[in-house]
Amino acid sequence: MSEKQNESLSALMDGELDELALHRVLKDVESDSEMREKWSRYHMGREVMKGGQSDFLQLDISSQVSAAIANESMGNAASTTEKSWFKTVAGLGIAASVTFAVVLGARFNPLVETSGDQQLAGKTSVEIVKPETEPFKGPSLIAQSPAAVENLDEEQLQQAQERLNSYLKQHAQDSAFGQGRTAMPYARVVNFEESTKQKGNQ
Amino acid sequence: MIRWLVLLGAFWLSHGVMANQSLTAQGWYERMLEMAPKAMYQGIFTHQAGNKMQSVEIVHGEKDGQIWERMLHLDGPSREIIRRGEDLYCIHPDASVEQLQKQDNSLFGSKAPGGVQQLSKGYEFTVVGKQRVAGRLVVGIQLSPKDATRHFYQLWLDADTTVPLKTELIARTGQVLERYQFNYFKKHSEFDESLFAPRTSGAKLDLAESSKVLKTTPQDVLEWRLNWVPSGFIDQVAKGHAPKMSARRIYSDGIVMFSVYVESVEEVQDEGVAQAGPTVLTVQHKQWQGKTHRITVVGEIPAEAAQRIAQSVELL
Repeated sequence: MSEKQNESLSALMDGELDELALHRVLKDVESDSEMREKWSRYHMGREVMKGGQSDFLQLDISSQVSAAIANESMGNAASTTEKSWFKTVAGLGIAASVTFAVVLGARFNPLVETSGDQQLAGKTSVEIVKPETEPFKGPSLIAQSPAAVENLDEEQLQQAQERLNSYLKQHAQDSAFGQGRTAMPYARVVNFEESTKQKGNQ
Repeated sequence: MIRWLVLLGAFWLSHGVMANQSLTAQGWYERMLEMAPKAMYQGIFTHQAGNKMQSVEIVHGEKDGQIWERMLHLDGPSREIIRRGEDLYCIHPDASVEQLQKQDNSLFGSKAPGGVQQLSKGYEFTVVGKQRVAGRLVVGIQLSPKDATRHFYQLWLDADTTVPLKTELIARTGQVLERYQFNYFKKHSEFDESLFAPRTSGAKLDLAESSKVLKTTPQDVLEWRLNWVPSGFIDQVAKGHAPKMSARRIYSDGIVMFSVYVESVEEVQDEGVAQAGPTVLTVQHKQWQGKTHRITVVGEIPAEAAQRIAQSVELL
């Protein structure tokens, strides 16, 4: 893969290509497996970083992503290192799942009321009719022990992350079959494929 | 001219819906269970969860009593899911193929959960109206939870084919946790096998590796039970596909599932609640006979319910 191609990929990621160049790069990506792989990696790296600002989860791996990208001397990686509020966690691979994989921060999320910006743009147009139901009874339902998580080193955190993601994937597959009448839960399955694949590549 | 169009439109509307006008929400749901799997169509839908969105192309049909389906992820690296009856394959961006599920080890066999009778234990059914989705007339039905252990479901069924063109999973706070919605939908009149061939060049289904998920051996399996299961949820008796050293069980209330994993571990590492899209994960630990056990509950249920389920696990 030439330096020029490398630059083009980088420009592609930043949306800085004119239409002619865009077509050429996409064609290259199609025919060159090395380039395809690299593009895929960049892409996932960026997904992770984007996700870090908006997802339900705290994403603590972005600096790792930045480092990974910098090592590959990708021209514009510098701009991403500004996200210094992220902590470093090893294990980009499993975290690089495109959409929903769990990424553990220094601790799990506490149970919080979701704020407005986590909601989808539009609520349902149909008013939800809430039935009268009893609230939960029983023991306290918020069982947090973040201390247990804060003491983990990076490797342990990564292990926990991989384990949870394998559970998630398994659950998504099971749901797809159990509930597969509407076909849609398969879309969830698709989301997890990157994570296992990446793991295999490391 | 306009008058004719209006008349024509009115005729089309009445023609499409008239036959089903008297259907209750349960009636619609049952109709969907019967008709939607056999429907033949292609389309593009978006899948939203949290504030993420992805577009997926879908082709769906039935051949010799088996459901065939192809789903192509349109954004980012290309990924494809191919279904041939109970065989399920995933094609990765590098064109390698992973077989996620095989005919002979299918989890649910032909007895998939989800009848109206089972659903009625956990949900009230209501018809919520008519709308237009992907240019087609849809009828909305809502499944409202009878207790706090599950979320709302809204399904907007194509009045003609009953295929859900819009599906929403909604928390009791009104927050939409997940949405599938068709942007484009085209009904097919016959099965066209060429539409189901993988679009990823170089992908060969017969070279598929089996899924990397580890199998449980009998000596790994711990005996345990749940002392609290939300009403309507039934043990689906899943065996054999759990990650190693874990005893997994799956429960379904007819539309939503949760999985429970119980493992013996050396020490407590992580504990708490995490959310991934519409899915919640809780990790807790319990001591039995001097040993630490990790309990993980995964499902599209409220976190409080997942935690209470985890707390009720008892090792036998």
